[in-house]
Amino acid sequence: MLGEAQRLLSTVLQGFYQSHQATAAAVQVNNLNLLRGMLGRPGCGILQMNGQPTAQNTRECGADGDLTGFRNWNNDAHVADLARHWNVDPMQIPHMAPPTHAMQMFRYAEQGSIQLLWVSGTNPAVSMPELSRIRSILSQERLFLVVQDIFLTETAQLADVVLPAATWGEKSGAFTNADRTVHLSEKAVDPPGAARPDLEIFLDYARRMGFRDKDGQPFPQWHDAESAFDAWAACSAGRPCDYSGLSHAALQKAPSGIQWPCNAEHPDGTERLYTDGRFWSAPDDCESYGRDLLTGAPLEETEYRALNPQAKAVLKAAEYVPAHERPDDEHPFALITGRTIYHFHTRTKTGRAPQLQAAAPEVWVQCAAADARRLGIAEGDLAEVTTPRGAIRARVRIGGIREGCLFVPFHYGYWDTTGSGPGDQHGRAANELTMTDWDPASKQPLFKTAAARLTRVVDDDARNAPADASAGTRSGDAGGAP
Amino acid sequence: MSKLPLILRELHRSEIGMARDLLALADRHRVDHEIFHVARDVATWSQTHVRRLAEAGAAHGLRLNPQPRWEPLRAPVLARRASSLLGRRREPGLLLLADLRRIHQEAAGLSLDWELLGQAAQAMKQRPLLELVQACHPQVLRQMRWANAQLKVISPQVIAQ
Repeated sequence: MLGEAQRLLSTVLQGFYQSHQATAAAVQVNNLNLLRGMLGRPGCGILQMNGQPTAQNTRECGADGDLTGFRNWNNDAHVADLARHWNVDPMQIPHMAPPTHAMQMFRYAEQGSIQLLWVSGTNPAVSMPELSRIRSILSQERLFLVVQDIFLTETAQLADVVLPAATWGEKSGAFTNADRTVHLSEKAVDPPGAARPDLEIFLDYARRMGFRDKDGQPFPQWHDAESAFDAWAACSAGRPCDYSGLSHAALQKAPSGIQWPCNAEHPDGTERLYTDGRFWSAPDDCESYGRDLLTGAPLEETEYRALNPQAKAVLKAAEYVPAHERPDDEHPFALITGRTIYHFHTRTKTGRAPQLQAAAPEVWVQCAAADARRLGIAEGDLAEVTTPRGAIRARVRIGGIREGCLFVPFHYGYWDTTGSGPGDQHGRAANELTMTDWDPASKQPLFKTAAARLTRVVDDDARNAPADASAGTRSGDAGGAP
Repeated sequence: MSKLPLILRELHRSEIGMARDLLALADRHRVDHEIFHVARDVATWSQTHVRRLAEAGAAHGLRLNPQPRWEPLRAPVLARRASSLLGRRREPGLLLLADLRRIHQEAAGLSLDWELLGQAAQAMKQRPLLELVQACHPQVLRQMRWANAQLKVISPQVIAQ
């Protein structure tokens, strides 16, 4: 099919990014499209997507810890250029190593060398692997935990300080989609109570801390969403995500958004990239010199230059290595966690939307009909899922999955049951079960490889698993995988 | 008489040491999850090198063990438990730097030995040996770069705090 296709559009999401050898697998998709020349023309392309639009533009602007505008931490010229935009000494921009990723930050917090952690708009006490470990790290007396969110999440309940934040519609800002379309999202109503926009909170903190630029002026120099956007647009000039032709005013006139790069050369944005078969791979331009896909070790500049990638794409590959935890006699199932269509992330918002909550009110575990038969489990039975990290209880849904596999949605935590964690009750968060392991290249946790055991729990309340059908997972379908 | 058997024996001995030290590194730093998992992944390379060296040795009149004991000499259970118990303390950070430094040194030495074998294999037109070098030497270099990269990433936090 791939060999004879006239057109090929590939999309990739967490099923790749959170599996064993994740980066290597995702890169193979790029390789396929590249080798077939399926890029830069109608009907062809690669969408290596993020879980949500905000994850796209946080990557671009550096809010994920990478350097702003896809700059290369290992390229001194890029760092100097960024320092010039920000009017700070290059030494103020840590670039002695790749940016510290979240999993490593938690390790430093565990060791005690990070003593203040500020969590904004995410919920690690439910979304990170091996929750008993995460809870014990976040509950340490020596860790000062600040949580900034729109609701009192499980993580916020563990915090020393909670900063109530405004949500979309209560503040202005920009979003960027996976297809590079930048949208303006304008404030419609005031935030409730003491809630404030994230930007306002961060700026307030910066001013109170007295952060200064090289000339002794307050840093950062911007003071609201529009001036922050202008500074970002200027800083992105000449980079792949060039926003220099964009402004709040320009976006107000374009209700369907504008695709970057948008600059003097492309004032209306750019619909299609790579039409000329050229890439941002030249050593002086590239975002990164790349990594060894198996060990994660970053390549040095000289190694990358030796590939001679002037505007050419680099095909990378890695040899197979066995997964770090495989099913065995004691834990015979391969456990995969994931999503249902009705909920987003840890249900912080969707669990409070009555229709969505009613459509999928409780966690479930999905298993194949043959496995259920063998274990004497019927649809709707209560069961315990166990891994070396912990156990949860969930109703069983049968069918729509391969034999030997279990699926548990990761959305369900404890904010609407027992608080920050299960307490002395049985757990229900899928991440009680997952292992602390991440892809050495991308540093994304692996949620698709764990070995688990399934056992029926006798109770009098057997009933149909309450979760409604969702994409690809039909309740009561005993026909096996579609 | 050629010194090939000497080099093969030395490489075999050093690759066993490398595999054992990588597995010991993993055990000592079980709570540093990336170190633990990647060290074990790349230890399998060294184990494969040992097996292939033993096969190559047979053709040169050597009897090298293809499957030696991989457990380090110290009790690994103890190391594992110590790692978990000390997981909340800062001192293991320095220990990790020292261990990675040792892995890097070992890999650098091994790399040179593979280079010697490669040179000899070319001079003596020993195609199977040259193919062995071409398969194994790059993996030793990747082990070395990994240790170097981990030192670069971890050292600022360990030393500065």
